[in-house]
Amino acid sequence: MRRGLISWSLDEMPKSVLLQRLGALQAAMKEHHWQACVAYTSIAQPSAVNWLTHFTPYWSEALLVVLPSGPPVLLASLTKRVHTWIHEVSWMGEILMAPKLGENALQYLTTHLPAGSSVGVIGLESLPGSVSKSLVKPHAPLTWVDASAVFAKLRVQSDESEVALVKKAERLAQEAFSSLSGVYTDSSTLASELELHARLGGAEEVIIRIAPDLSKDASFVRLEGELKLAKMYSVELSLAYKGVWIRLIENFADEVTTLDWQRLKAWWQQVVEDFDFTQASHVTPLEGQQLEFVRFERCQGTHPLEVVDLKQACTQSSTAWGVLSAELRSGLVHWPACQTVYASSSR
Amino acid sequence: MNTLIPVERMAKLIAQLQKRELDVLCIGANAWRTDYLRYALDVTLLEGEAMAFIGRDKSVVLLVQSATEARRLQKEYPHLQTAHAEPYYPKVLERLRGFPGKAVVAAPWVALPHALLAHDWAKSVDETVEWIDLLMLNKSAAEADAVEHAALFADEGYAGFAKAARVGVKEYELTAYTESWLRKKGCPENFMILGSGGVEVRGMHPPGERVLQQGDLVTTELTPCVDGYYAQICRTLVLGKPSALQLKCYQVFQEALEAGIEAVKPGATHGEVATAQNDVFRKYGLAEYVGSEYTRVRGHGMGLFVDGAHVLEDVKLVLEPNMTLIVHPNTYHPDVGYMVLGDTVRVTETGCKVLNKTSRELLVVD
Repeated sequence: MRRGLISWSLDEMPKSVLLQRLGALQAAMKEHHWQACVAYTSIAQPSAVNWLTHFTPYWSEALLVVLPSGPPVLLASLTKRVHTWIHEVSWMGEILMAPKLGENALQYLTTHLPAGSSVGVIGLESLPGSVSKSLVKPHAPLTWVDASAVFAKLRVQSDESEVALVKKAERLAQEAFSSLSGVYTDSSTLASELELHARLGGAEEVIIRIAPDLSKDASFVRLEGELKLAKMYSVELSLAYKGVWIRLIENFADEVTTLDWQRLKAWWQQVVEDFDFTQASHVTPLEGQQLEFVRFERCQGTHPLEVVDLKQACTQSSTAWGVLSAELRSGLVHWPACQTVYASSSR
Repeated sequence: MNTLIPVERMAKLIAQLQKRELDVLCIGANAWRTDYLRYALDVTLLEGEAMAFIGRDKSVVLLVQSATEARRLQKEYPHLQTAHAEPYYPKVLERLRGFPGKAVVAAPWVALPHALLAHDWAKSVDETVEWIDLLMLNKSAAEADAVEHAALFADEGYAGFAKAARVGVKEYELTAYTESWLRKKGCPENFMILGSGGVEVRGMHPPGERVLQQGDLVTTELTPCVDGYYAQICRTLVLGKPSALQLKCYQVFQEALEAGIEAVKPGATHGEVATAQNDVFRKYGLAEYVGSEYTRVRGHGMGLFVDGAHVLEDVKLVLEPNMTLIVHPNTYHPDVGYMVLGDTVRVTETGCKVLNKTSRELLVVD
C-alpha cells in the first residue's frame, strides 16, 4: 500500500511535460488508427498512468482513457470523496465514479466512440481479469489492440523532469543509508531508521529487503519479524518518489572485511560510471571473482520496474536510465550490488 | 507466529478440492492483491505477479514473474517448488496445458491477468472465489488470535502516532514517524491514511505536505499487518484544547460505535451492524451523512486483506464466531469536519470482543 508523501510539485513535474507526453501518445494513436487508448492503474501497476498524469493510487484501481484530443479521463473505483484529492495531486480531465471498473469503462467507450473503433490497451496482457472480463469482450462493438510496445517506445524516452525525479529518488536512498550509524545486529532497528529517513525525505513508498548473511548467500528476504544480522549483510532499498522507482544496495561488514571490500566497491563504481547505453557493453568481473548475474530494469509499461534484456536496452539509445544489479562471488562470500545508471546525456 | 495456521489453511483448501472433485487450484497474486496466495501458501508478494498451482495431491508449484522475488521466495520458503518464469505468461500457460482432462480452477479475478483468461479455468473463477472467500471469512480460533495480535500493534502504533502529532509537523512526517515505529517493532506492513484540519476536511487520504495547525482535528486509520493478518484502529485527536462543539459532535461517533459493537454477535448481519450505527446519526438529524456522498462503509472485515466484506445496511453476511471486523462510523460532520472512531472486534459465542484497548475519548494533544 502507498502511505508516504503523495503530492504534485509543478516545479518538479510541470504540466507542460505531462501535456507533451499526452501529445506523444495521441500522435501515436493517430498513427495506429486507435480512437482511444486505455491504461490500468493500481498499487501493482501504477506506472503508465503516473507517467501520463502524475497520479498514483494509494488504494483501489482505476482506468485512464485517452481520446484523440483533450485531457485524459479517469474512471476510478475509488470513492467520489477523493476525487478532489486526485485533482490536487495530478493532472487529468474528468474523474468518473466506476465501481464496476470494466463495465463502466466499456460503457464510457461505447458511448464516446463509433462502433468498430480500435482501442489500444497499455498492458493488455497484464490487465487484471476483474477488469478485462467485462471490458475486453470479443463481441463488444470495439476492437482491442495491445498498445504496450507502442507505449514502451514513447515511455523509455525519458524527459528531463523524469530524470530529475529519478536522481531525487536516488539521493533520498543514498541519504537514508548515510543516516545509518554503524553496523546493526538486528533488522528491525536498521529498517526503522532507514525507513524514517527515507520517508522524512519525502519518499512515496519504501520496500526493504535484507540478505542477512553474505557468507551464506545474497538472497534478499522480506522483513517479517526479526532477522539477526551477521558480520556481513546487505540491504536493498527500493524507493518510490513522485511515481518513479529506483533501487539501491548497500553492503555492510565489520572493519576487517570492509578493507577487502574497498576493491569491490571501486569495481562497481567503475562499472556504473562506464556503463554505456549506446553499445552492448559487458560487465566484466574482477579477477578471481565470479559474476553470478547482471540484471537491467527499467520502467516501460504499467509495472514500476521490469527486467529487460541488457543488450536490447543498450542498443536503444533512447534509454535514459535504468537500474543495474549484479552479484559477485568470491569463494563463499557473496557481494551484491544495485544502483541507478544513466545514459551519458542524462548524467 | 502460530506455525500451525498455514498448515490448517492448506488442509482446508485440500479438503475443498477433494469435496468438489477438483484436481488443481490456481491462485494468482500481485502486489495489490496477495491475500489469496497468503491464505494458500503463506506467501506475500512484493512485486510483479505470481501463480501457485496446488494439486489435490498436495503438490505445490509457484511460478514467479520477478527474478528477485523468485529468489527471495526460494530462500524464505524452501519447502515450496518455486521457479522464476521467464517469459511469465507463456510459462504459466505452458504449465496449465500440462493438466489435460483435469479439473482446474482459479482465483481471484483481480490477480488473474488477461493473458491467461483464454484457458477454461476462467469459467470457474466466480465459484472458486466464493468458496475461498468463505474459508477466509470463517476464521479458525488461531487465525482470529492472529488478528488480536495485530490489534496490539494497532494500539501501540496509534500511541506512537499521537505522540508524533504536534503543531508544525507535516502530514507525511507524521506518517514517517509512525511507519518507522512499526518497523522497529518488526511489523512488516501497514495501511494508513489520515486527515488534518477543520470543517473543510471531507475525508482521509495519503499524507501530503500540509503542516499541522493548532486546533486541527487529526484523523487516522492505522492498519498494521502481522503474520499476514491486518487489524485496524480509527481515532481522532485534536491539537490544543477541543471546542465544545468538537466534543459534542464527537459524542455522536462514540454512541454510534457503541451501538455498532453492541450489534456484533453470532447470527447478526453486517447490515444490522451498519444500521445500528447509522440509526444513531439519524437520531441526531445527521441521516444525510451516512450516505456514499460523505462516507464509504460503516466498517469491513479484517483478515488477510485490509478491506474485507463491507459493513453496509444492505449486506446480508451473517456473523459467526471468530469472524473479525472493524466497526467504524467514520463520516463527515457538518459542524466540525471529518471524524473517525473505530475498533476491530472478534465475534464470540455470545457477542464480540473488542480488540483495541485505546481510549475512545477525543484525544487532546497539547
